[in-house]
Amino acid sequence: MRDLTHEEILSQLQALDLHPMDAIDLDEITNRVNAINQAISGLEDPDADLMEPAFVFWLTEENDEPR
Amino acid sequence: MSLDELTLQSAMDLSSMITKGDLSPVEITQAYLARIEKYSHLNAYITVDYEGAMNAARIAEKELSHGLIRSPIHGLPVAVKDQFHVKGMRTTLGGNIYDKISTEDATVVARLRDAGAIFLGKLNLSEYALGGNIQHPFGVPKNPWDITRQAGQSSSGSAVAVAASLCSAALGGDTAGSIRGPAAWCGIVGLRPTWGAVSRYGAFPMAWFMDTIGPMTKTVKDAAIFHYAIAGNDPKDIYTSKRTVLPFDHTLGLKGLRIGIVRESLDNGMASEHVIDAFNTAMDVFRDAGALVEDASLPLFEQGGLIANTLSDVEAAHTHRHWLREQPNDYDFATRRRLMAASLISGAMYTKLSRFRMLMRRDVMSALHQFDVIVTPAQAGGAPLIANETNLTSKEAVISQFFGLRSHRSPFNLSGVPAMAIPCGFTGDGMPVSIQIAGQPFAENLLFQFGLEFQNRTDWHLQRPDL
Repeated sequence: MRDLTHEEILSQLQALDLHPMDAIDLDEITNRVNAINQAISGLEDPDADLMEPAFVFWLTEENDEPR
Repeated sequence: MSLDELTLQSAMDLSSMITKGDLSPVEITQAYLARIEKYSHLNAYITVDYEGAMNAARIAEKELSHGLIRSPIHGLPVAVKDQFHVKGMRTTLGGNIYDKISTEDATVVARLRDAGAIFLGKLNLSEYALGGNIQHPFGVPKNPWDITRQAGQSSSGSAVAVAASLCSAALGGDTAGSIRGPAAWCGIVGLRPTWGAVSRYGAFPMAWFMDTIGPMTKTVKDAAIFHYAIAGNDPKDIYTSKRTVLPFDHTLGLKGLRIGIVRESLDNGMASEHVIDAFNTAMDVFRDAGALVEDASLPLFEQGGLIANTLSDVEAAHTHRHWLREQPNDYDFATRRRLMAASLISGAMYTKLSRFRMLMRRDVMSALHQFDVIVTPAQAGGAPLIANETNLTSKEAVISQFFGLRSHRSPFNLSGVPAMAIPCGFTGDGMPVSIQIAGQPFAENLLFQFGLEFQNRTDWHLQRPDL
């Protein structure tokens, strides 16, 4: 995916009622978002679409009593 | 040996003296309080409870003199990360926004109190247990091995306090490495327990499916005793396991047990030369102890930092959403930028990371079916210098700083398995280096078994910084 511009980042932040303090804030937020998006886009695994996300491991794996 | 010299001993050595009547809880508490004053420039503590600690010490002394021994930690002066509530004490979370007197003990605090521990105070931390902040409202925690260097993130005060002997043991919190990282950089033992082994009730959250609380100690034996004191089911935290927690058996060896070295944690520049040398020497110690040491693989290892840090940051952005809108100026600038960036990660990206979390879990569990434990260095290198700026002036700088080399602890928090950092040497400039041992869920005692055997055969855990 392409990098987001400062203006696009600022617009998204403002939509969430979040406000960077200054230009340095906005620049670093932009760098962080673009870095994260690029890195996540590059993640690959043959089973990536088969693996369902789950958040609690042992509750189902260890037959703990239901709660 | 003077009282000040006694503070340098392990918690279990002190416990032995206390239960035999050879050491007074009042005197050792006074000795720790004096050291806290003397070394206050390390910024380990946010709050010191002089009066409360001395009162508790007098009660412990009275009980012990009447033959009432609550547990092996009875009479030991301890401290906890200021992320956990201690009734009647101030909780700050290391930041400027939250500042309250706690009305209830966190479960881990209540359990230590019931076991007879004496609370010295609350320990400094990275702002809101996030890590990465530059400004510290309560002073920058300084690494006792070199005060110009960082103490790690986020249980920094806990690591400093244990390494500098400002308490006999401490508790920290580990979401994405926050116990093991500071432990490794400060040369102490840090256990991240199995997710769900220890109650999080009364602890400020970061990422609910990865948050854990564990001991930070001078030795593996100490970690085992403190883990035993705090672990186990808690109705106040519905995700604690109902498994019975068993005490650690000190008598077991390593003969025939299998260790898998995660190659991806060492190869392709993932660790410095000093770290690799110390790690390889540690593996020889395990071989000498009769363990079978072979190579293992976690193909997604290098991606661990990206997956864990982004998931936990997005969770934290949600937790902080109101403060971030209403009081953005009250955050450290690095924290503010980090949380605002995380607020913009899309649901699709989060879901992809959640799937990769499960893939990492698949790989870790597969390796743990082949081996009893898997091992990595606990860090890529020694503690860096204390930073004044984030220096994230490009996308590439973010990738370089936060992802690959920050991955050493991530596979295990993503997988919910226990992992422990144990000191195994020093860099060329004298900063501590550690190995990390990970095992099956709820196999903490097996980690202690490996760690104890290592410490029985080495003396890294006996080294103390020259303050």
